[in-house]
Amino acid sequence: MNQPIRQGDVYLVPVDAIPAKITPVARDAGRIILAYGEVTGHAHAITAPEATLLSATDNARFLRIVGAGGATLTHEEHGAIAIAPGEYRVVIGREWTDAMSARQVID
Amino acid sequence: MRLDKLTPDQEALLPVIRDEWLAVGLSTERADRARAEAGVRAAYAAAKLPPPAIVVWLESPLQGVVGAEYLRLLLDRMAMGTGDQVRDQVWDQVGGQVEGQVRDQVGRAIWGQHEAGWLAYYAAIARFGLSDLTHPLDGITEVARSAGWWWSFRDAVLLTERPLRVQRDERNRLHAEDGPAIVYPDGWGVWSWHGVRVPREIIETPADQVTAEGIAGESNVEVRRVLVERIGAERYLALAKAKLVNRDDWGALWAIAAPVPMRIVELINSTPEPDGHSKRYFLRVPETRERRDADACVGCGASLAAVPGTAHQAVAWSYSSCTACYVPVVQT
Repeated sequence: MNQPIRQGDVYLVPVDAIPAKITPVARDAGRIILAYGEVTGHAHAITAPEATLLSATDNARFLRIVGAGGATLTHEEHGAIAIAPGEYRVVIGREWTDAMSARQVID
Repeated sequence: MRLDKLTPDQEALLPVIRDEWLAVGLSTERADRARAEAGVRAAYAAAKLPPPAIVVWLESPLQGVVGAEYLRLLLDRMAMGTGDQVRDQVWDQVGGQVEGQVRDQVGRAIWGQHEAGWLAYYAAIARFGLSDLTHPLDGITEVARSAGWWWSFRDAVLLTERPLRVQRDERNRLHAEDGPAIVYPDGWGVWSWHGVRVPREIIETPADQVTAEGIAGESNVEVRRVLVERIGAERYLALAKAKLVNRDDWGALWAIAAPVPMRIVELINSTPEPDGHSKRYFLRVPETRERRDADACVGCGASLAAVPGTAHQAVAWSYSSCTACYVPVVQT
């Protein structure tokens, strides 16, 4: 089993399987953007062609990396992390609000 | 002519060209209007267009956007057209070498406000003997060297001034502690704290007037961190009368009683800053069992602790995980 990876607000959890009903997410200028910082313009990004971002019907997102080489997760202010081939659930950090519910962390 | 590999002399020129274009991108000189307008005419000629009959000068990008946003399509088309033509012939051959040394550094330093990032690349190519290929960019290059943002239309051009001041920190991120980090002649500007763009009041409110409620009410976690950094994390916790609930290897969990009951977890960034200090973030976690939505661990499906009791539970909660499933082996 692959290792869980965290880079800033982004947490990648290895999974055994991903939902059958799933759609690929289009790249943004050639990059997969897992999270985008609106006040810094920085992004948690992957450029490797071996990587595909997938979205399930409940909006859960998964990352699939094929081939032997894996992919690299980069960010302007965090160290780059090598991601081993496999399938991952993409979890973005969240925080609590007055509305008795959580919302995604905005940065 | 074809460029397959840079000679040592050409490689030695790259830092020179980089610095030249950094200076272009960061210039706070008044616009050289005659030179900019000549550049505009050359750019129009390269696009096989007659020179624009109407020339308008404004004071800032904001004024420019308001005046011209909906007609910027033409500029895009022109830049792309000339850019692609050059790019196809030179990009693959030498792109990697030049991009690594020039394009990235300039692009990052000027925060995309100007064209210097990509023009530096073609300026290098031109310097290495392929000026026949880059010739269509000469006009755009002249404007970049002599003015701020500009917009082109078939019969008109709108140009704007350069900023009066650009302030950066030791890592070249926009940063000013007493006012705008970039300011234009009309007063429009950008407030920024170590590269984090923030509203004016975040920078200009005196530190002794920043309140714990103001910090807790800030919805953007980076902007909140800036506020905490300005007054100091210890002072923030004291102002909020925060009580320590738990401290473990993952961080510290604090409880705040008033005016709104809250639990916040204090986390230390995994990647330290170059000066050795690490950014401290404060994230709010549930302080109540009341829920609008069900909450299960994304890893194993187990239900999560309704009110995190340890810093580990709190950080795991923020990634929708139970503590058993929140075990990042690699983190930055």
